[in-house]
Amino acid sequence: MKTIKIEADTKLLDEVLNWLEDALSPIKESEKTCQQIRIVVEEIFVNIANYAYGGLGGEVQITIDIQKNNGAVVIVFTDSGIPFDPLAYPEPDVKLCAMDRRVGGLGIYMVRKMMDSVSYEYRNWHNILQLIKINKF
Amino acid sequence: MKVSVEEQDHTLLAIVHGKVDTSNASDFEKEIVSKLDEKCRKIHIDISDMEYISSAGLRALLRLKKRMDANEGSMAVEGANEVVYETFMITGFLDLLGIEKR
Repeated sequence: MKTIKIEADTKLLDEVLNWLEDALSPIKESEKTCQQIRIVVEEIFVNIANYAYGGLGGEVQITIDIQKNNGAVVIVFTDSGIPFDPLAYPEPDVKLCAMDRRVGGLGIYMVRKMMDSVSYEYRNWHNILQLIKINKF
Repeated sequence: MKVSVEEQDHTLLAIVHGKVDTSNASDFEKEIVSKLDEKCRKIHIDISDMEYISSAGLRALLRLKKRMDANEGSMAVEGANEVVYETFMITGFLDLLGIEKR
């Protein structure tokens, strides 16, 4: 299991993505799975950086556990920001034409569609978001 | 991310390399918008060398598309790899950008 604890700041996105490369190295042959994980880690990290602490700043912890028996990649984000359940966020209408499309909500929608499981709980003053991707070899 | 943009007969040709994410999506958009002028009728974006795109990049594409639609122009995006194609499919961007289904 790999863990990073870092200030939730979009300026540190590259640092998170560099850490992620190392964490994903055991499954780097599964290019598609890795790309999707890069996308969702960015979306969630940026979301926490932009909204969790209401401008006050704070940390986020990310852990990645690649389970050898079933190929599941389990990613957990923990922050102590404002309670926010991304699963309660309304989904964007992806059938609208360009002029009617709004620009919000896309990131979380992509996370829900690209992962096999997304679950959220608020416990002991922390937002805990767990994502699971089943890596098909 | 790297983007090269050139103009030819009122069409902007943009070639994108690498990943378009939160840290560079606004640079990507600015590079293209800075070369748009009133005579521009079409933007053609070659993404065959684009690794992946996050929602920040999708928002940049959406804003460019809105700009072109509002000015009776058009925008074409071509060459999506598998991951990018799937991202477009999930988010409704295949229809939005007029990309043929595979």
